[in-house]
Amino acid sequence: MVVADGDHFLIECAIRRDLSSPVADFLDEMAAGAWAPGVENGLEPDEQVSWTDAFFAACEHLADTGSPIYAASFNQLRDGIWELKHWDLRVSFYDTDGHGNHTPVVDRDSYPRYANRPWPDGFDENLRLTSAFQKRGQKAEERHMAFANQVREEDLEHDRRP
Amino acid sequence: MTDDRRPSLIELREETREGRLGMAAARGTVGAVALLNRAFAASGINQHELAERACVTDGRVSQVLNGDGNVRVSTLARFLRALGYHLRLSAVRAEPDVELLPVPRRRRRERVREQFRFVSVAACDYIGWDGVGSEMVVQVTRSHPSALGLKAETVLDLETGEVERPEPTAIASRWTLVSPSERVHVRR
Repeated sequence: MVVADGDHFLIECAIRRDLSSPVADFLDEMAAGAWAPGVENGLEPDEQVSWTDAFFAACEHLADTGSPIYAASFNQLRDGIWELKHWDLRVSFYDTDGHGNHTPVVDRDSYPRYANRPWPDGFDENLRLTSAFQKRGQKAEERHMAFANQVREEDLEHDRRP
Repeated sequence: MTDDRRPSLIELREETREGRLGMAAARGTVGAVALLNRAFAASGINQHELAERACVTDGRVSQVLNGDGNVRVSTLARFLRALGYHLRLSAVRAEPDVELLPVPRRRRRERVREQFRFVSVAACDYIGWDGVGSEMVVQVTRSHPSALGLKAETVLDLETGEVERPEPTAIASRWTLVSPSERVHVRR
């Protein structure tokens, strides 16, 4: 499911082995103001809708210009998994050539310059949104990372199908 | 592989009026924050310096640059100005059957550039021409001051360069030339 198709990036929701898409489902629920992660998320239905519009507009900007809105709107997680940020919700993503190939983009130098980190140049033109989660601490929870990795593997596998 | 036949999530969102309006608002905010960040990045200054220039706190600068909350047009204009830019707004068509936004066409006024010829010092309250503690009342006229019934202690003819001193005065010999410009401020 395409989120934004621009001059620089094609941003899509990653697809799992069973053809489900965690981020597509998440965005559908948020757009309807019906996202309930099981715990208090602090977002009222109208806030969820606003969040969705803002996220869509941010993806559109990234796809069209090749750069995020501002430096603090994205973050590097681990092993080529990155995240887009808005409020305390995070959407993880990875990059691929669209044919099942993925070379992790790891920017080891960016962390010391948190406030002014540049958007890396090495991303492939397809960005796949793997998972969405609510940030609760300084580091992304291990289970969210593991899930994002799993979705990435299954999405790449999906692309490799003849 | 991508299924090209399906609309994107944004296109689906914009199938309703609420969705179109919501996306328009979000795009406006994103555009404003992105523009501000571009200007900030180009400036080479840090957030503290911007805070000083914009007369706000460091925290407010961080909040605005990070798109925290809705950025008002006035706030955007102030921050851009602090970075050395003017804000210009425009509207582009969102639908093909909407007319281009008309530009109001009104007859511009004709600015008449008056040619002044005479500079007359009508009243002086000064100590010397060096201007220390001085205030000079100057009248710039097209016709000779006497023709207008104006009393002048000293008259300079801009065309000939001649200085007339019909009355004995305490004016120093050095004449400070007044160059009338388009906007002439005359104290009465």
